[in-house]
Amino acid sequence: MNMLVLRPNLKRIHYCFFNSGYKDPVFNGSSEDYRRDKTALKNILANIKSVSTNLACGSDPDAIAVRVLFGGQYFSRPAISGVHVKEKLKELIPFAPLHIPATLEIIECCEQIFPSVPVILIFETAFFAGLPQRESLYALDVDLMENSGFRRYGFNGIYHSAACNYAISNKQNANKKTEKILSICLEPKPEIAAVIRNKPVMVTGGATPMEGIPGETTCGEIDPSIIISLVQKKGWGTEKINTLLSKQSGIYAITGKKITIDQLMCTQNHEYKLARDIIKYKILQACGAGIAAMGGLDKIVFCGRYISAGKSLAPWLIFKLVYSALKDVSDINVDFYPEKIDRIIAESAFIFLLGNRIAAKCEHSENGSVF
Amino acid sequence: MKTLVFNCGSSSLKYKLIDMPAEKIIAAGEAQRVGPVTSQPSRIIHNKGSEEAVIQVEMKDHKTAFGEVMKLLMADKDLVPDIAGHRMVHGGQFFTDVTIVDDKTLDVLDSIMDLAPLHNPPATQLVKACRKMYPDLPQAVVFDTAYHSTIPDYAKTYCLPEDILKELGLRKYGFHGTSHWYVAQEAAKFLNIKLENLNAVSCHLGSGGASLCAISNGKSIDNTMGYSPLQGLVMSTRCGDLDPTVTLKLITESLGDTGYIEKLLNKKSGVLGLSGGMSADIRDIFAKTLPGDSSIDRLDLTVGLYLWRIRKYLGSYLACTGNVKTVIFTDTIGETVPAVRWAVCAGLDIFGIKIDQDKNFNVKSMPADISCADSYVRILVIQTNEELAIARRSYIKFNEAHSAVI
Repeated sequence: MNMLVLRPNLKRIHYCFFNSGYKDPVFNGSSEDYRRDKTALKNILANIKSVSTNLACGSDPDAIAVRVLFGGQYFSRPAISGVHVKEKLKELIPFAPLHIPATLEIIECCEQIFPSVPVILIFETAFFAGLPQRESLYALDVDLMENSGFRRYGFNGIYHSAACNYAISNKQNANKKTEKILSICLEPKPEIAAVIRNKPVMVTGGATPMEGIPGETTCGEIDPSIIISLVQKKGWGTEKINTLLSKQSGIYAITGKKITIDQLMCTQNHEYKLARDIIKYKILQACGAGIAAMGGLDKIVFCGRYISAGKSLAPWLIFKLVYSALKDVSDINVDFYPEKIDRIIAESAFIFLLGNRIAAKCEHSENGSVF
Repeated sequence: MKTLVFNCGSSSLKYKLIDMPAEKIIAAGEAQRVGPVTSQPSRIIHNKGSEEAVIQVEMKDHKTAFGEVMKLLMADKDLVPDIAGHRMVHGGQFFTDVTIVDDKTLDVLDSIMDLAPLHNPPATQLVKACRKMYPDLPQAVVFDTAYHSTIPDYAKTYCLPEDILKELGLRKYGFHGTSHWYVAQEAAKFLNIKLENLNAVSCHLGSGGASLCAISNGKSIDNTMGYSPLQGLVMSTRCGDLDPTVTLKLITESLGDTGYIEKLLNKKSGVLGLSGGMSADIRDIFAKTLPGDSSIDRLDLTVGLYLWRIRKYLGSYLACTGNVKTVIFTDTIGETVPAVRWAVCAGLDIFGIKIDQDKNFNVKSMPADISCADSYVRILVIQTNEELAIARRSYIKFNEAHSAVI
């Protein structure tokens, strides 16, 4: 199956084309300012179409997989775009006012440029849709929470889910359990999830990816009173504070440099020591919280685009846990899940479509047998 | 040495006269309903030995209350204090230790008043009145934040631009330090080890505020509260941890009314908010003694969130402290609600924690060890005593100062 993967964020859209039977993409790239006007996105997709028919596979893709950052409470698994799905997405606009309209626009353009090619939506929040309420809710007034939709969603679900599957199947020792897994996702906004039998019970990301571990430019956990102080003492508006906390904080604020998690963790640069110590400390703490949440630990898996940072972090982390914090644990298995996000999205969409077709066949077959 | 300890509440003034270092209480009492007139008259309940006296007297502020209490004490020659120790909630960036009061201290106290607008002003008023009315009575101030001054930079720094951190003094201060320090000391005594050798997680679970403290080699290395007491655990009316964007959204929706949001997060959230206004006391929620059974789900949810947050932070602090051999439960909820201790500790064998159900549900006196015999970590229930802690710290400080002069 030939699959086009689209991965939009607010300014840029990444695309990646996988040919049937090949693990690496035949072509990929990204375009800036895809939402600058009505035609920009269409032009990008038309270009992809021409490359795909002329060079890549001689035809349109069989399916298009679109990564969606936010699926709210509606989407606990992938979805094939259609009237019903689009209606549900529209209802989510108040919760993700920038991302959801962009997603809808992409779906619309795909329908025009690639008519009759199914568009499969892969949600970053879907993996966490079943988080227990004790983890997903904040200690706010219950009615306020119900009306506002404030809850912990979790964010790098696509990575976490795939990495946990990998960790479960990758048994170094057949006798060792792989039920309780800590998944450490090293992306620009790092996130840690505690997962029991592929069901998350704890995650550091919150209502937005801003909560939890500080990121390259995001503040991570802060005292809510700080925000109130910024309004009262500096007289700043909420938009200005939002920009401060999401774009000018985190590692950037501490080091004064726009560096990646990778650059931070893989050097011994003394200038960055405080930032490095902070991130390491927060990760260690989140691991402790996750282990307590699971009541045990079978495996740690690193994922995300900066797993190389994970490789330099892992020995320290294991030392801290095994030799200092945990008892009766002589060793912890660590996996590094090397797959890139586009490939994971393509595979998720493929498996989803396959499952759907099998289900459809079941419905049509008289005796209910697929075979 | 007779040490007079003052603990200033927003509308009360507690005092204890303790003979140090014997730690014997000579007299104790409380001035109640200090401030504007309420339905009942303000009064002082004064205890000396087994005698109790109730004195009705108008006390419009803490300064007046202080004057009345001192009059009572000075009238009895057994009760004349040698030194005084005050409790102050917030010590800001300047006070990292017990401080003997001089003129400069008063200026600095004034400058940090707005860091804890409810608690610091009455206590500051008291220190000033004391210095003015009894200039010969040496005074010390013990800060709740001081024990946490050893929290390392990587744990206390918020990841915000440096100029803003500096300008507004934004950093983790941590609170309940006097209590955490006291129970740490008591735990070391109970375990017959030196405080410097104590690695512990202290759970101060009050009926109002609550915080966990990570203790390494007897020193605080982290506290769940932050720049203010709002961060961290689910408390009786405080929300604890919250995604920054939630706070921002609430402020936007209230059209910038930060006073309202501050009140919402501090006074109407936590156990009270989750239970839909049924009770701010987790003991009520646990007992399910509240009217109506349609709300059982809501009660379960409240208990669930409350316990879950403590458990996660316990795991977090066990991991970052390392080699923890002691977990301490203290203050009202920590001392009296075995179900909380059970739910927080059960199933944490991987950290070497095994709680003994029988011991846990049958704590008759404190300190009590409620861990199983084969538990690597000792789980202790210790009664906190902030007044005694203040007396100890003040006494030690004066002794040090005195011997330095000699």
